[in-house]
Amino acid sequence: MNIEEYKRSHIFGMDYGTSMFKYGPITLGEYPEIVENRGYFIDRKSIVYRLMGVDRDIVVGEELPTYLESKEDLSKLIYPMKNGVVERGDVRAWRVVEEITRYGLQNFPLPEDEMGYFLVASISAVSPRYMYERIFDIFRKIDGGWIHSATIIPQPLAVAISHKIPTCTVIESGHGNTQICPISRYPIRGAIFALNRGGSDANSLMAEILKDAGYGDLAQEENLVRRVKEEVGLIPRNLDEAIEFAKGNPEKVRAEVKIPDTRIRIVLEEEAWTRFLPGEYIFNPNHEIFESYFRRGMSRPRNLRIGNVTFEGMKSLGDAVAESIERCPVEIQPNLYKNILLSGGNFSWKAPEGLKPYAVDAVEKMSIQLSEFGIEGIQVFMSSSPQFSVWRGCVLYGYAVPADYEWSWEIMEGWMKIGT
Amino acid sequence: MDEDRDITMVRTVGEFFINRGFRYVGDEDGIQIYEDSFRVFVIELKVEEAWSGGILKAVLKAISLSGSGEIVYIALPRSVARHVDGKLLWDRGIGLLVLGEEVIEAVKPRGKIEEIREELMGTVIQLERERSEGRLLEAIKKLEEKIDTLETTLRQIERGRPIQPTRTRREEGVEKEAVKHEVKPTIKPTTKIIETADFMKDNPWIEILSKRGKEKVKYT
Repeated sequence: MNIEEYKRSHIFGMDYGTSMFKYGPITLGEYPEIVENRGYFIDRKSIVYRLMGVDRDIVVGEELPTYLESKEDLSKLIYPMKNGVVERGDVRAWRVVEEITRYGLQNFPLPEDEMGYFLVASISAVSPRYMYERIFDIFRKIDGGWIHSATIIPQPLAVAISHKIPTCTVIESGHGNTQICPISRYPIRGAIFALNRGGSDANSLMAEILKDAGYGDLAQEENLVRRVKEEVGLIPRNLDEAIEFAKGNPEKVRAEVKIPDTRIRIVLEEEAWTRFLPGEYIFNPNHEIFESYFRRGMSRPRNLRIGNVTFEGMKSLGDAVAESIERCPVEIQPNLYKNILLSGGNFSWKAPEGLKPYAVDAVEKMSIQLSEFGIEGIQVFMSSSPQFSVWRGCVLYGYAVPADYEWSWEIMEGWMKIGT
Repeated sequence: MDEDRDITMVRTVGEFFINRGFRYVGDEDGIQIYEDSFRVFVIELKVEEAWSGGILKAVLKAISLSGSGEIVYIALPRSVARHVDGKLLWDRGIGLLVLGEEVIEAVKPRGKIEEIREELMGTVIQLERERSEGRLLEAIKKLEEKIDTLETTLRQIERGRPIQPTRTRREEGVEKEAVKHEVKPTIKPTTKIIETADFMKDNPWIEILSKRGKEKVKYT
């Protein structure tokens, strides 16, 4: 078997998502394995763990929940990619990245006489160069002949690959931030734009809304707040018109959330108009209505610098997309507007039939925002299977890119030889 | 409300064992004891106990009992049990009962007798496997020899040569290896992957990416 043929049947994809780690070899077909992208640091001095025969300092993967004891323990629970970027000196976060990488590979052992996997890892588009260097170092550190060669690609490129679109603009919006990445056969790195706004900001606003509605005690529970946001949150076509309609017709916009297996029941009646706020906040936090929340103590999304990347806080999504595309050559800009691909959990919003004139989905809102610039021919799509699309893109990338295409630090592509 | 739920739980754990011919012996230090020809210990936790450090205490108690050769179960409400790694309990010989609308034995406990029985069964299975693998290897070797012979015959037909009498692998030696390398590499795994995965079908990126390293980068 020649190396090209060997490579094609030994691709291993890894998607380091902000909350979930998706991994597995090409032979899995359509669906990778998934675990939470987090690690738990064990107190090795603890007599309890010694009794249990635990001799590690970190646990990752499916067995992690069995080690959690109390709420105080959550400080030892590290999500390394929560901002998409791991700080250079964050020793614990890098330990988790190493351990979860090892965990992924060890779940799919190869026979001893095989040469190892061709590993395709995918990380945030805004990851600085030192992250690539550190991840390659981790691959080298994981001994045992697991890896023949490895490469690292930005997540938006993987999304574009799995959706079969060679020229497009991928907007990936996750828990902590939003990245905009134009692609024309290659990711156009000089045009990547990052916003310091994601699902967690809409959660913060939802928590304030719950406090105002008399559910201050529940607003402390982040998971519950997220759930309420997903159940009742709406994206308005036009915020002023939506609020006016909702205030005049509270019975039509009224919402109730019941948490199964508990006595918790949340009802928004007079305050039902606030359902339109979290969705608007994702797309444009500059509406004057949000000022009242900022004045009462809610943090304003601020500009943030991580590594050498600046994440802007308050820019509207439409402005950010246009600015990103305008950094690309004029000749490809029409094609980039023609194929805008929304990806990530932060774009999953419901638009109930009964509220259709006022509530829209993320695709329509994005089209509306961009059409305000007078640009024609805009087409926005929602990523299918957003959870798996990055892993699928990784697998196809590894399958198609020739085995002799060597890694180049100049264009950040190719295979880095890892095994001896 | 909580009291009603607790009564239901105890009753259902009790029913689980009584239906299997056990009798309820009593409760010692919060541990329920049932007896048939041997004794079974059950440590049952309520939701709130489990989440306030009770699981670890129960596991430690169970390890201690199991270490003395007893058969021990931990019984947990379903909402708690799904967060527990059954393998950890299995490795230590502790059973797990999941309490919901019915009681499910999610992990079987292992007392000393079971451990010895498992060890013996493991040895028997291993011996059986080795025996059958030996037979399989022999059969595979014969099949390989037949394929080699057929390949040689096919080549001779393709080249218009008269068919030579076949030789065994041992007689043919190095020459046979050379013939083997002439065979075009099989692409079976590749074809299978393209046929089965939707995201690979008609994907223009396959052609684009296959040219990486051979073309000039336009925009990056």
